[in-house]
Amino acid sequence: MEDQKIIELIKSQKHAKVFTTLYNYFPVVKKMVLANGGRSEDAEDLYQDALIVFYKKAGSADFTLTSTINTYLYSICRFMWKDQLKKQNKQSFTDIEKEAVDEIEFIAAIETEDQLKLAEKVISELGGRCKELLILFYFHSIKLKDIAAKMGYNSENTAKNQKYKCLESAKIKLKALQTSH
Amino acid sequence: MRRELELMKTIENYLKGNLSAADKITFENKIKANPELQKEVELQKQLLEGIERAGLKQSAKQSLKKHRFNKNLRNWGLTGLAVAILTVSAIVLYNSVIKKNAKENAPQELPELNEQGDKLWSDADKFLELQNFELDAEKDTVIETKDGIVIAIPANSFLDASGKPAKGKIDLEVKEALHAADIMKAGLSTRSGDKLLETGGMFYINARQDGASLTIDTKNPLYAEIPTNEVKPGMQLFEGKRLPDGTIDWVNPKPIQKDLIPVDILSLDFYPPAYLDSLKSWGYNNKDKRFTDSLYYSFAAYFPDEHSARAKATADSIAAVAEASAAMVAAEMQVASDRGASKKEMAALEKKYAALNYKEKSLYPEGSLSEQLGNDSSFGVHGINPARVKAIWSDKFQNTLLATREFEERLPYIHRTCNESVLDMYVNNLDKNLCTIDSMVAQPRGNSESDGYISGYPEFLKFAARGDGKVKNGNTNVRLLKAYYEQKAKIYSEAISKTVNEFRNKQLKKDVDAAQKKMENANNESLRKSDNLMTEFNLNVTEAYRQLGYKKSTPAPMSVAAYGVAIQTTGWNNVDKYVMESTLARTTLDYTDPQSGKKAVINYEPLTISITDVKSYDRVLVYLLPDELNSFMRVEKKNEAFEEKLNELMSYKMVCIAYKGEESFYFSQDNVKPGTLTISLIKTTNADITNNVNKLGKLSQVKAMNDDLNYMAFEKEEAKRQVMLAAINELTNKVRPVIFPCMAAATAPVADSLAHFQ
Repeated sequence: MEDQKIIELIKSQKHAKVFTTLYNYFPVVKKMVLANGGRSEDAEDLYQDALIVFYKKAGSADFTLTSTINTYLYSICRFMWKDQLKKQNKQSFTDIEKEAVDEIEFIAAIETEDQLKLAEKVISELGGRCKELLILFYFHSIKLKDIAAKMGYNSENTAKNQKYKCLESAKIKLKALQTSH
Repeated sequence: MRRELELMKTIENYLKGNLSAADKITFENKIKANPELQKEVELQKQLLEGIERAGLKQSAKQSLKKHRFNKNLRNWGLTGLAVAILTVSAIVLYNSVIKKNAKENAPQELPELNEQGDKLWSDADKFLELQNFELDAEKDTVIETKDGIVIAIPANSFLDASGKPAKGKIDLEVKEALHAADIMKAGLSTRSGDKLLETGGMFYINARQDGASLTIDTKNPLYAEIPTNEVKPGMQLFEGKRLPDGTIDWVNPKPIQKDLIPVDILSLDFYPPAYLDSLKSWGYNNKDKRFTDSLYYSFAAYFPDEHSARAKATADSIAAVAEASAAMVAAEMQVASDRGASKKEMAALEKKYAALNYKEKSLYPEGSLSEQLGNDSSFGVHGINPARVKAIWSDKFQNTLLATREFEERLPYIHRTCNESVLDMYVNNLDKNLCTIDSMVAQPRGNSESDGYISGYPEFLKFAARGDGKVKNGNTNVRLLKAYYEQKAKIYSEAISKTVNEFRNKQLKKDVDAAQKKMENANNESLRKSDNLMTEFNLNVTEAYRQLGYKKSTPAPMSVAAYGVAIQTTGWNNVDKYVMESTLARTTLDYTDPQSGKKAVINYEPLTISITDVKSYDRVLVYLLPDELNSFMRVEKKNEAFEEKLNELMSYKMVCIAYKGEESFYFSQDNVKPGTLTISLIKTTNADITNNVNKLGKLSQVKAMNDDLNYMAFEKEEAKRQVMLAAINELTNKVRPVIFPCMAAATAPVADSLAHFQ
């Protein structure tokens, strides 16, 4: 698919389609991670994070693509993996690709995402049903009525209450985590 | 609703911009006044963003599965799977439907009895999420699980307690633990007895009808594909045995053997690697299978009949046959262009043709091209005979292991071995597992070439490790196919050699004809020129005598064979010499008799003919037909115009004929005078040109003109033929190393060592 087409899909928030397509560029990132002390799960995780950074960045109104998406994604991954190595006090890094995008382009976006990881972790640790409910409602914008039907709640109201309860326990956990940090 | 929850609702409305303007201001004032509230808002904002992120992450993870699934579809061809295993066209592709939403991390409710009818359940059974698929037992079904296991379930593959195929709706239960986290969460170990295993994933599958477990018909088993990033060699399928302590021991390993799924053999690519891509990069239409086939198969002519011809043939004839073989392709190429398949190619051809046409004298620079083609005798051939590939790439081999994507994957490697015995190994063992043949190819075997000697190709071990099996219920007439292969390969080879030979002979005959015509034309031309010269000389000399008052009425006849006449005597001859010089050079004669003081003047004056848009024509011929001559003069082109000097004693007709593609143009004028003439050509037909030429006057002139025009037409065709042969030659040379990769490799070191000397 052409890069421009992908950007259009991002603007119209077709995340599933975008991600599925963009995995075409995954192999070289995986190679890079494997060549630099990571496992393939690390590579998947890293790539997913990079996809999110890119997806959000490309969705913003002022975004212009300065290179191919392939190079862009690779550069994000490379930056994040180097960063991770640095945190583990491992310095050596061998590059796979020569071409790269200026890191200034996406450093801020990566930092924002890093801050969100804590909140995401809290959401993920809520347990399957809470997480599913919140994602369906807030992320996929599914109507409570439909969520109730799909997830087996007795009424729309029950689902709504449940939603707030989930959010509340998340808030408490997040608060606790933030004060401990 | 509790107060806290009400507050959250308000904050949410605020964050989502759902508050009215007034409420918004009130709320914002409250926030400013209350740092606690401000913190709550901030937290909730982060949570919403966290949820979005979690959603995106989930989407990204699921997309990976989707991506792999799509890739699998492409690689293995699910339609092929349906046709071959299921033999019914309707496929139902299920997405997993999770029926029971038991609490995460809490044990699942389990039926009383497990699939073997006892009450033993393991921890994994309890902690892995159940995926339930409801399906029709009498229909072929393909399901994909959450983590991407694809299971093909043929109709009637489940048996009930009485051993009869189950009818109607059944429930398929799947639990999967493909990733490390799932495996650990489920308390699964990778233990077999006291050995540790490396796992590619674990799954549980069971079907029930009305709560009772069904068994799988071993004659009609399910087929599952487990997603993986890489295929590791030596993976085996273990059966899980539940132990009383809740763990599972893995027992009874079986090598994983992948059934091969035949696809339409004609949809596969059996060409040498890079063949189609190379053609495309050279601007040929690589989608035209008629063209790509005939080009590839024409190289079978490198392998003439193995019993008779090879023994007799010298290296030269093999090479000649092979080279000329591509001519057949040219015919195909023309067919392709006629159908508009390759306009670009045709344009290039015509451009070359035009270039050749103007360089009339260098039309045959170093002998004809087909002679040149025949001279390239410097190589023998080493590679896989395309005729053998043609023999297997046919409907006869549908539904064998050759008609599989897996075999297609091996073909580039087979081509690269350049050893026909490797190909034969696969064709002659259609009843074996593909991975078995892979190992056979990897090992050295045989003593001599006739014995099917191969030195062992370790690169095939990689394939052997994949454990590719055979086509289930594949073509059983394996022995017959083997014989068919041998026979067809031979027949194709002979037929192609014969066709190629015929083409070559035809081209050789045309070469001879062309050479003869060319010679005749050269003779005619020199005859015409000397004839013209003599007539004009006589005319001039008679006039010179008249002006000088000499009585001699008839000048001595000049030898026609020589232009430069050696005249050593004086007297009349002196005048003759000047007249001859002037006639030859077509310059004005201005002679004063030294004795009488009388002058003889015969003027030659220039004529310049400009033709409008002269560059737009492929070729332009300008003729002058003097009444006094029996033949014509062709006017030479100089600097975009046609120039000649006219003899004042003669009166000239001018005829101009031009061609542009298939169109013809004509112009004629009587009584042309010296000076500058600008003419515009008029479009006409060849027939009209013939008519006009016939009306020009003297019969002898008409005949000479027609002869010349015919020769020009022949020359045009001949040039086209030469261009075609050149194109074939070029293509053949380019494609040869692609079809026979070892030959390319063999010539490279020679070039290297040459470079070394320089």
